[in-house]
Amino acid sequence: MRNTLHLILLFSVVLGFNLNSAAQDYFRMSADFTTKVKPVEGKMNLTKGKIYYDKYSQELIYDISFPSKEKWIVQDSKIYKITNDSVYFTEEIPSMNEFTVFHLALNSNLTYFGLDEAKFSISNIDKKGDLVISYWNIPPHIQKVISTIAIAKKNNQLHSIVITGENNKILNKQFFKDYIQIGGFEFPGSIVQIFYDENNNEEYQVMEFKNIELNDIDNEENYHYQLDN
Amino acid sequence: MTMKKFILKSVSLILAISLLSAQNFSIMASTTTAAVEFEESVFSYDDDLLLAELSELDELDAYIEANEGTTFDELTNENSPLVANIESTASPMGMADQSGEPPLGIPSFLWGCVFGVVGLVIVYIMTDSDMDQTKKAMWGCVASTAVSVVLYMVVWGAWASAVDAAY
Repeated sequence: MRNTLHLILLFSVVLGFNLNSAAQDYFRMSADFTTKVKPVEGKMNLTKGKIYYDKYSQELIYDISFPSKEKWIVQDSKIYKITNDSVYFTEEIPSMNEFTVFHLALNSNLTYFGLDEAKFSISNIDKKGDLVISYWNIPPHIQKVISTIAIAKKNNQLHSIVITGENNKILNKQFFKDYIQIGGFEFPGSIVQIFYDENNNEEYQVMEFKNIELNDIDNEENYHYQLDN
Repeated sequence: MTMKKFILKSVSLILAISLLSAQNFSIMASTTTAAVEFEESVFSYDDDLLLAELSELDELDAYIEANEGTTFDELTNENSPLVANIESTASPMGMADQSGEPPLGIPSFLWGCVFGVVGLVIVYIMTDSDMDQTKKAMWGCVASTAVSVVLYMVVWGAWASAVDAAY
């Protein structure tokens, strides 16, 4: 009887461990996205399409349907813009994909938007209403332009980020809303970003996501673009 | 006797790891900034204003959703008022191309919604005009990492031998 109990206990522990491991193992995602940009001056922008991201290959693909059909591929330290399978624009960029909202969400690191994983340290924590606000120390190199990074959590989810510049003037605010929950995976359905210019005029960027699909292994080609094509 | 030796080695190991971790974390912790606290209202925005500002874009978005596959050129050819004030180029990560300097010298698209704060900080450091200081910081980081790796190997070696001795 005792042996049976031990076996059941052992089985439960092993099963629980496996379920937990499986729940955490989200390695790729796709989603319909809509990006809206309303600048202080000039024309607005609407871009729609589908994003594909695989956290192991760290390849970010935007399959754009509007304004026109094209693909943007962000691989390592390069961005490629492609129409009709031909590259029309290439640019060197810092390797950034592991800091995207997609990578952070797939690794369950979205709560502090990757700051904690990068060993940034919290200088202060404050509670205001439903929000738990953490203030982060700024690396010396950028203190002259970014004076504060404050991250607010609500219900243990990333709620907003405020970045200030000289004299604590707000440069940028980001809000993460309408979370989509799929098993243990959660992702903001919309991200609102507000920029402030020197005259405190506001510029808006909103990115919306829907139809999220996780761990799609049937459409491998969507997640890896062969550039030599 | 063997047990005592094992416990002593274990305690030494824990202390060494604690010291090493504290040293690593202090790299960022030492960069203290002036204490500032924001009111709750800072972490909010005017939803009605946002809706009003984006109303034209929302209208176009609804049309595209209802007429899948429609392109900008098609709407332009139809003289659609929906695209009268809309750029013809894509900007999937946000921040459309604009004249003038991008904020903080960071490439516009990297200010988009999808990149984390750490990414922006790294980009700023990498695009900072003071490249000498940046390089020094990078070499400092490389040296610190190398020392950490060697120390970890020594510590793990000590731990492995302690375990061997115990069993």
